[in-house]
Amino acid sequence: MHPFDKLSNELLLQIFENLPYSDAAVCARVCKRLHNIFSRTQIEDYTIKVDHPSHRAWMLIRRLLINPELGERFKKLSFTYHPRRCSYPQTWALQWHWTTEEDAKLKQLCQNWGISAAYKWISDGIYGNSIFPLLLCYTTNLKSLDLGYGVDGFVWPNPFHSLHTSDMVIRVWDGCCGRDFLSTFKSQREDNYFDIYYKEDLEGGYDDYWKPCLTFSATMDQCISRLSNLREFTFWGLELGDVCENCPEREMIEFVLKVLLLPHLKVARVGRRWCFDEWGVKAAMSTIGNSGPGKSRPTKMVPADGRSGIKHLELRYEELEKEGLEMFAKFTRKLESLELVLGRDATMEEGEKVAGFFLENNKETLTSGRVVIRMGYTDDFPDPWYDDDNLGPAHYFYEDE
Amino acid sequence: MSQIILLSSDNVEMKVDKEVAERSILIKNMLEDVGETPDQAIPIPNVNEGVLRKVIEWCEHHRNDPPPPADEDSDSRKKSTDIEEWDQKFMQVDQEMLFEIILAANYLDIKPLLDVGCKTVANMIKGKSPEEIRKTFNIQNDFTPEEEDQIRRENEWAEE
Repeated sequence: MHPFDKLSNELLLQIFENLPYSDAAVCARVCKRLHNIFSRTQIEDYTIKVDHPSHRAWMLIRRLLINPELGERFKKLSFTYHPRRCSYPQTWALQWHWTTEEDAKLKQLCQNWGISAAYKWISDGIYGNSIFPLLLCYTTNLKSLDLGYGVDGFVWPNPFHSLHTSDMVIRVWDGCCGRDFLSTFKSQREDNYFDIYYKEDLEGGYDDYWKPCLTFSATMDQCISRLSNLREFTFWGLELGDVCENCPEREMIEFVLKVLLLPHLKVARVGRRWCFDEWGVKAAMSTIGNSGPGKSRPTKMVPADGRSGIKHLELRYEELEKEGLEMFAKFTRKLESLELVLGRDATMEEGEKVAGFFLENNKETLTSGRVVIRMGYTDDFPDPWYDDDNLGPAHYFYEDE
Repeated sequence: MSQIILLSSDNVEMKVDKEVAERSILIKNMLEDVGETPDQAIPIPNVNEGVLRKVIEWCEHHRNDPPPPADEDSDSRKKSTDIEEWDQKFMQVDQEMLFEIILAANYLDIKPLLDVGCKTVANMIKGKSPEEIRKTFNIQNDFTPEEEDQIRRENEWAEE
């Protein structure tokens, strides 16, 4: 008998759980015994590369449609974002195609789970972000969720063109769908081709390109009740411009605040830029107060005082919004530690002031010894679109014309 | 410092500091049940002399380690295949001994040692192809090519 055979299944399972999931998946192909063990392995940490040309994220959904129990094995999910750089066609994740049966099943599931708004986008297979709500409906045992930068854009502009122009978006979009922008529209390029394209070829018009952003936050709301096991939450996607009523940014703050109310949540890392603007926090909190957090949240999950029970909070923001953060601080009551990471436009004095808001609202649990305030480095505020791939020679749009 | 005597499966007696032996939760509980330091040797029926010496060596080195945190949610439970240098050297043994240490750590209930053992095996697996893993651990491939292909497709989403 080989020594390996002496190890019980429980011990092999423990070895598997020390492996990155991709290696454990390779083990499943070694022999029947390991395959069996793999199918019981908890997925301790899985990173989804949204919009990666490999289509791994879509493949996961395909697998979940057949084997929904797989979703319950996920413990930690992280998202990274793979930009479609318009000058590098090799970065363009092409459209993903579902079979007719899969598509019908998706439609039914989205309906059952109250995320019908996401169906069109999932069915389209172009926006990787669109799978978020569906995926999170499957992963009911999730302990840790890292949404990363939550980037909503579709195309990263050509570095030689400072503007994110609409023709680039359409061109990459067409490329991903297997159409050739140039051959169809070259003749119309000089005269307002965009208007023609916009009016005639795209059902919903150009705005459709940006809608997933709205869909994202609106449908994510429905997942919150399914995230009730969450202990840790990370989201650096709060990059807000002008916050107005019913705009996606406000929905996003609302989403974050609702997640912070989850009963077991202990650790939150949130922020980025203009993240807790006063108006937005006030609006989001009033919505939560009025309806109980989210139409989807069973009321028994809401803490009696409507404040979050998180113990550890890391806030990073590039620009301080003191009023918003003062509001946000009132939302906490049990903090034991706080880390403030300041962006280039903030000062330490401002940071001290913001820390003061939190100390005041968490008097019983938080002492100034457990508050860290530091200036952020570039690493703390990375370019969400940055990736290390060696992309090879670029193909510029206008060279060959 | 009080000492106790352990008796390996092949009937070899070993004198060990009580504190060192108590790295094993099994022995610790046993001693607590007895209430006083026993004069007689404690039999460890599943572990032979060579392996028991290795395990005691590990316990000696880690005698002053703080107890592992009980909080399941804490970060220290985070899975990583990092192993501290001394443990890495300690685990440079042949495969048979490595698996025996894991089995002994499991039987004696020495969680941190079990952890190091599992991580060592995990590191031997990391980055290898199924065929290389079979070779490393001398495992027979009992799949038909069709089955193998199907499993590959099932797990496409998970592999790098």
